[in-house]
Amino acid sequence: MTLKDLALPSNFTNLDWGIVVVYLLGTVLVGLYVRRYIANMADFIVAGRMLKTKLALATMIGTELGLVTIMYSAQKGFTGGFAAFHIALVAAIVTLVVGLTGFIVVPLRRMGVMTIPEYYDRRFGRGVRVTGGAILVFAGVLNMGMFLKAGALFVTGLVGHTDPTTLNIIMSVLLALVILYTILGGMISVVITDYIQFVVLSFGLLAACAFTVNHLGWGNIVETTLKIRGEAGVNPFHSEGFGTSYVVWMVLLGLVSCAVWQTAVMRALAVRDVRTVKKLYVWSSVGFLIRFLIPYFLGIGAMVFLWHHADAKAVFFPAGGADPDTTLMAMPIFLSQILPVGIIGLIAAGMLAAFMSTHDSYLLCWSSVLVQDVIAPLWPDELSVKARLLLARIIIVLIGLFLLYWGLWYPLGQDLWDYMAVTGAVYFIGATVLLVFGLYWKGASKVGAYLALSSGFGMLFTLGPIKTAVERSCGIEISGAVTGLGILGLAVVLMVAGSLIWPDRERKDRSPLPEGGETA
Amino acid sequence: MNAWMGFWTGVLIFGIAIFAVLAVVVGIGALFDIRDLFRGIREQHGETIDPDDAPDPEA
Repeated sequence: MTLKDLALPSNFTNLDWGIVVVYLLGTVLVGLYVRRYIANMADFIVAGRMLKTKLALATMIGTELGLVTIMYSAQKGFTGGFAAFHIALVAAIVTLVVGLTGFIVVPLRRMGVMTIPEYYDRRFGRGVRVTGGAILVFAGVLNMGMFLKAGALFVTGLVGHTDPTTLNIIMSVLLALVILYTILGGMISVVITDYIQFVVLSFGLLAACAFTVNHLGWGNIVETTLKIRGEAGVNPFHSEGFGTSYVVWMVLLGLVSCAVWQTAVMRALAVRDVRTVKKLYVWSSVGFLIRFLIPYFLGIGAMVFLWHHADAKAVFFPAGGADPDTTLMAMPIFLSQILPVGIIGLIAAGMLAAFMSTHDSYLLCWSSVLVQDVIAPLWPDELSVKARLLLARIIIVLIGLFLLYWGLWYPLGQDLWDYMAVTGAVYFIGATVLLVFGLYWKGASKVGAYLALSSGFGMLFTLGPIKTAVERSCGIEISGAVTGLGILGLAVVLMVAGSLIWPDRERKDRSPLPEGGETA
Repeated sequence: MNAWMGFWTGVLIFGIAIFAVLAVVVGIGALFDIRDLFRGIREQHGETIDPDDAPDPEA
């Protein structure tokens, strides 16, 4: 039996479709309405640096609690059981430590930069800024390449719709809507729509957890998880499950998610002052915990539910394990079975809004970086604000077109979370080293920075199709976690060696700007 | 109950409880922040000249 033959009629009705349409149109209209507040590049990228703690927190969680996050986390809960909770716990602890110490984010905010490559410029020079910006956009766009696929699979599972053409059309329309209001509104639209999404999704997910426990029973969830996954389903250090190297890799990813990843750092750079940055991170640690924890739990619920369904068990638990596209579908199919009419529509609307919200933040982020950090520094004359805004908007459309192509045609071949980690690592390994050594070691030099940045490309060997090809031809097994940690070590060595052998002749000025930083 | 299972149960209950409180506080508090954001941006645009639009002092 295949997923297509599985007869599990969804609870999704026309009333739910109505809720989804009204909600999404309302969100887009709000996004369009606030466009009149955009007057310069700072308004477009960092909302004029006027965000206060609660709104910054809502928008940070709203962005990070996207549909894609929920999909890949639910998949990890399905395949890893309760042991996957360690990723959530580690993310929360690392974010809390960053909030308490101000590690990386406070010096960045003091410098008044709008993007991380802008920091490269201040610390290492224009060449590093352009190189780092180009790598960031390459990795970032590749990283969001699977977003459309995750969205399409979510809709398929939830509404019980199996026609791929219809789904592709729905996803394309959603993407077009996102592009429209991101182009017109910039960060202010993003902030407001993120807020709406934060409210709906927070309460929707809490309700989904209550329905899960009510439907399956807590004792049944625990018992079935232990039966299916054994000790590896609860102990993250177990060699048959995640293992120690994976847990260490997650510590790094926790740091990256909150303090190095551009879309999260943009919120820190958009707030009023340093004190707000710290407060934002301390409270965001709860958001970083929950954005993984609840979807993991829903994934575990899906695992238990489908295990007890005779036909579904054959599809989701075949000998040798189910393929990643199938396990991604587990959570939406589960929700389609347990949520009542109306609630399922609200959660679908919230999830699709989350899908759009993540897209708008990422589109805005990568287009801004490309304009501010790659094109503008290379442009022979000074680019006016008007030209920068136009370029950013054109790039948003181009990235959108790439996403349509890549998201719908690339064969995933690995857990979505691992795909995200690997593509993200192309950028963040070099970026982490440049940030940590650049901010905290006076001896870090331009040559060391170039070497560290380039090392991230080694992560491409752990992408699903490339990994399979290399493993087949070389007869070796490649672990994403071990490779990632190894390449991080290499980047550190290259940064230190490069800086010691080729020190900078004159040090770049890295003194922080007065509070508030540059304004455009 | 398995010790790991007990630990993860505690993490889940703690996480959901604190998030529920946070969602209510942030949901209400952020509305006031939105009002202040628009007010602040309006004031900023009224009081400052965009650097790109400002006349060149050396011209």
